[in-house]
Amino acid sequence: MVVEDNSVNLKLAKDLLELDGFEVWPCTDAETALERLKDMRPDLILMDVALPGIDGLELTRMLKGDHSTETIRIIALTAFAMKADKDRVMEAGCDGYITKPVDTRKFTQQILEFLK
Amino acid sequence: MGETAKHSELTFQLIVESAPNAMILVNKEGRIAFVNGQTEKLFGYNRNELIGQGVEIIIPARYRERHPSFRNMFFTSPQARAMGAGRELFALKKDGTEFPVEIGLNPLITVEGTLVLAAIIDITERKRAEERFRLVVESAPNAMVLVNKEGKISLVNSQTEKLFGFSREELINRGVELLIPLRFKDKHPEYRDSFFSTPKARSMGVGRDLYAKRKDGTEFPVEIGLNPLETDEGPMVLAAIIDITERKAQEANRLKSDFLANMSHELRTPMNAIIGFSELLIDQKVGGLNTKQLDYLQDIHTSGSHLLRLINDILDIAKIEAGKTELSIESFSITAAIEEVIKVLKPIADKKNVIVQIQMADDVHTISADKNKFKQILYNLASNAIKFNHTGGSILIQTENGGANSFRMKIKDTGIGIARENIRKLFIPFVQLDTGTARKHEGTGLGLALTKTIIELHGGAIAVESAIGEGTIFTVTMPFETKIA
Repeated sequence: MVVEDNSVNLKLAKDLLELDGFEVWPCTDAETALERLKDMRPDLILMDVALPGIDGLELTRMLKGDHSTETIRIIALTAFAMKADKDRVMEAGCDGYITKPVDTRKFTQQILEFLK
Repeated sequence: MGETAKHSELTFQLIVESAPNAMILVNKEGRIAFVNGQTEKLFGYNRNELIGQGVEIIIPARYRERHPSFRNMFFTSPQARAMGAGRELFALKKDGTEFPVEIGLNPLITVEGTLVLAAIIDITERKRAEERFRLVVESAPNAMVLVNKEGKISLVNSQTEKLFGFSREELINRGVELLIPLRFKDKHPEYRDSFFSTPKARSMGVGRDLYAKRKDGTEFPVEIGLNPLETDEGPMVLAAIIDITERKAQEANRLKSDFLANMSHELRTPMNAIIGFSELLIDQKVGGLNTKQLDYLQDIHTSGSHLLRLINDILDIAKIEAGKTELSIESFSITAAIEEVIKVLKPIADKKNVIVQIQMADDVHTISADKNKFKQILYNLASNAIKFNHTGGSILIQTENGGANSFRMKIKDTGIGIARENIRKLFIPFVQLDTGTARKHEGTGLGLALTKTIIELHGGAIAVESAIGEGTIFTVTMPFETKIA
């Protein structure tokens, strides 16, 4: 699952992953993601941090605090690239952190590493 | 003495007797003609001990000599007034103790000539209260200024002297406008009047930015709390003044770093799509391209990557300048760090056939610094040394002990050299030297500016020596152990 409010960046992540054979569920906000998670279990969520409404870190805390979703791996995919940003992201409970711009040549490899 | 006179004397005695203050009737020669019960109580004398005595009996010895002349002056133009205006007055009890007093004088014309009726108020308590007030004001952590209705300063504490650079004497009885910047002066009397018309404790100038002025004319931002105060000298306002320069600076710094974080985020978001999609197309994962299309896409990708480097460098510099960069200091082997950087640079050097040599001093091993930033310094300088070198040239990285707990790292190249007049331009952002081959040497124009900033953040310095056609030496001096400020 990719949660990303910027449609162009959502398309990039989705296309990169699909080219390498992943099945991708795109969501443009936290509310949509929560709705879809009621009846589906992705292996991994790519989470943008700056989302309208419930932000990515808040959504991460909600999912990590819920028994039914706590095992889903969550990787922050964000343009917040300063050192303090990484601390903030990991503190919220993310399992990993990828900054934008992504390196398209390593992107799916990075995702596979997190799935190991 | 007739009946009427006797009657009026009795009336006078009754009135004086019932007065709440000590009252003493003194004749021209300074003899006490009459005292009331309050006088007995206050001074500890029986009235028989006083009547007929010289008034000096209740005056401290040090004032006695001058008293007759003051008394004569009163009798020359007898009119109701306060005694000793502007002077502090003291009286003497029977037991020899002194106490501060306020004395009102009233001439009394009688058949026996003009007398003076002195009403004496013991102001010990008031003085004590004043002293307590003065102490409280003095011990306040902020500058405190007591101002009367006319805007005259009547009291300041030592914090005020410190904050404004004026001595107490320079402020007392002066207009408070002395402490206000010129552009606010005109409005101030109006604001003061409105305070005194409805006096209550409040902050001054809510919603306005307030500034105060020091003796040297410099201004600083302040916050001022106002408290009305009833005093003997009429209503006053006690102003507590806080210098908020520091707070303002912190606020500005916070806004700046918020701005930086947001700018970084906003700039990176579109870069993700520009770089990402151009890469995807170049890799032809979604279909083949002809040579021209591939060429243009490479240009988009190269420019996009360049722009990203610019954004990173600008943000790095801005972060350091905003004091938002935290060094993570660790101890590490300088040789290992240099070797790691050379490993990264090797392919670029090889491409240009530039030889990279290292010469390590025996007494420079372990340093405490931010390892990543140290490597960034060396990377920037060494990659420049390769970039501006001739094909087949060489660079030498040297360390030496600099004394005074510091070490030097020199990066020497055999490149084109830098003209003397250009050396000072080296560290200015975006000023790339016109070498005639400028465009051959792609860079952000920020590398050296950033390098210098990082070195200075470590408490170090950078120097340059160069000779045209021979090469350039950059010398970095840094402490062995960088302390976190």
